Amino acid sequence: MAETFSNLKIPSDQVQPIEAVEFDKHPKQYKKLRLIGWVIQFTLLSVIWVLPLIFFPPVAIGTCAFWLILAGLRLAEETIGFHIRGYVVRENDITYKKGLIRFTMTTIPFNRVQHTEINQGPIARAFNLSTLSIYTAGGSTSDLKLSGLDPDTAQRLKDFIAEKSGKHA
Amino acid sequence: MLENQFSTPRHQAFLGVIIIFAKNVRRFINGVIAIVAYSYFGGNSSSLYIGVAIGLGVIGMGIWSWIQYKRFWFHVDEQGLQIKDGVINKEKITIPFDRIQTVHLHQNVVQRLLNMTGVKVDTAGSAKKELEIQALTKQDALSLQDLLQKYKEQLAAGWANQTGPAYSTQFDSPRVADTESASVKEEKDTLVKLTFYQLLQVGLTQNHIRNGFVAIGFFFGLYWQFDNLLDDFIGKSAREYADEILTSWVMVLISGLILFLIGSVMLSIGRTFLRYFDLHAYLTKKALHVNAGLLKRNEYTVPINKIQFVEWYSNFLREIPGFESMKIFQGQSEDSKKQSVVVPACFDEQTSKLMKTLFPESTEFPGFETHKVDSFYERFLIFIWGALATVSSIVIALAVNMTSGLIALVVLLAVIFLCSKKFVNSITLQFNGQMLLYQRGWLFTKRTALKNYKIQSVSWTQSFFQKRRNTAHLTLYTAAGSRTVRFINADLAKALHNFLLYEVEVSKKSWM
Repeated sequence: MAETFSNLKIPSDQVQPIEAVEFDKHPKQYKKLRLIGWVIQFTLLSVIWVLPLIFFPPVAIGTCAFWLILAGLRLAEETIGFHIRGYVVRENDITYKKGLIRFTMTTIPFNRVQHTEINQGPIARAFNLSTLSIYTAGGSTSDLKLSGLDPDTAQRLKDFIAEKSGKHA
Repeated sequence: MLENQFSTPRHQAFLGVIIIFAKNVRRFINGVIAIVAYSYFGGNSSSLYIGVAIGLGVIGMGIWSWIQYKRFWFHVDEQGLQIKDGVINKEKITIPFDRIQTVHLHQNVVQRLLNMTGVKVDTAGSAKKELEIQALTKQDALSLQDLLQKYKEQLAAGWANQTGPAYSTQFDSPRVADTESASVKEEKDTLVKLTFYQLLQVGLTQNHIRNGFVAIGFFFGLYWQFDNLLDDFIGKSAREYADEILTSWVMVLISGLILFLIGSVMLSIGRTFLRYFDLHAYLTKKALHVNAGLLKRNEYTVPINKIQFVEWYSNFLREIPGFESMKIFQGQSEDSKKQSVVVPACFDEQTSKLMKTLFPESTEFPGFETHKVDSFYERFLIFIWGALATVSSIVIALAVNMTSGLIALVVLLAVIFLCSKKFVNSITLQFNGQMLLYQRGWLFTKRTALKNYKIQSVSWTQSFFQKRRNTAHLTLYTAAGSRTVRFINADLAKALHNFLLYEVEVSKKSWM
């Protein structure tokens, strides 16, 4: 165990700051999948609540403008933001980062993982992609879902994490 | 061999009949209250008929309770706790010692009146609800609890010898903690004992507004349920009269407000007495115990190593007598519900004692660094709330007149400026390398204490706007929920992210 830390000085030979690590990217077809998701989402939602508003002209212009901006931002998130998405597996933890408008980086140490799971939905199957879910104890707040992984990669990661977390159980 | 005073089958204490009877009465009332109330208020049946029915019911239940009492046998032998039960369907239950999880002592209001103690036995992994021996003298209850405990320990020790270290590592600390918690002969270190006056203080300084809304919800719920009943009872004329009252709405509003306030305070005090009457919080070597309650005694036992984090909260009313409430967050396992235990009043010395026990790190490593949040947080709050205030002022200006709108805007903005400034100034994040202390709140203060190794995942978040200001949010997840530190310096957030991960990854301590 490390003793006291002044100004969070960590022994640099033991820990590499996560910002300095090179992240792995999602396969290209995941971008397509996300764009399809975007199209479906906005078409459905537009039909549900933007179209009826057009029949009330005074509010329609504002609403549609707002709607377009929202759609545009989400599109930017899925295209430019896609390149921000990435994951990295280190010796003791797994990290996922994402988000253009709202960047988030989440890390789960392997000695806190309860179990892992691989899922594949029907659409994801068509794109040959899998989702790796990593569960921690106590509710769903700190679980990590890694969507859009190559099935082989997902399996490899799952095995690796299972082996690592098994040592601590 | 253990000395076993429960080796021969025996009944419960004689007063158990009354306890069983009271339980049956309560079940009966729950079942038929609606029918009785309706027929009574509906006035369709004569009260004599109902009286006779109730009388017969009471006598019948009395006899039934007597039989139940006579048919209930229990004893302890080499196999485990043996119970024979049942009037029509006879049941014979054996609970092996290794299946016993915990043995609680328990007292409801009837048991308290008769000075009897119930013994509840929690079993592992069975769907059957926990078993209760309802009426024993305190002495007997304690010896039974102790005996079961000893058998269990003996068994565990035997197993450990047979199978070697594999067993002991497999069932690490949680088991030990559970057995510890059930043992009563341990040294008790009293933390908090609430006197009547202190309890009153707690009641008076509750969040009355929130309780008031709970009450309103409750009364509306009741009202809708008994709407028809009231209609028959009060009659139509009263409803027409009510309409007239409604027209003088100012009167209604003012008296309603006063009623609301009085009701809320009453409710707060009532709830406080029900929940925290005769509260006794004490520490043993491995666990924190909190016993409290007026009608229903609740006994909570929290093994110290299962505590995920602790929060103290207070409000401006509580600062006058000078105490805080403490909430302990326990890890949530898959089969049990999330449990947080509250000690409603901790004065300074009690808080520091708790800190010393639950967070020895706070005194062992005194070098706390203090960090404030970025002033951008203040501007962010003013911007968001200011926008809302502006919109509502425009609405007022359009609906009433220009002057009212302007007054509303000025007042709202002044309040927003003050609150945002005070709130943001109140936030501090402290750490000493082993644990974090996160304090926030102006009128309603809250302080979270969390050990590094209790964390099970860390994330930091930065929006587009925060990037330019170099600030970020840091979220710390534990098995009992997460806490987010908002608008701290982004470099600090990143450093903490790396540092806390390192701490968790090298930690060998059991965290839940």
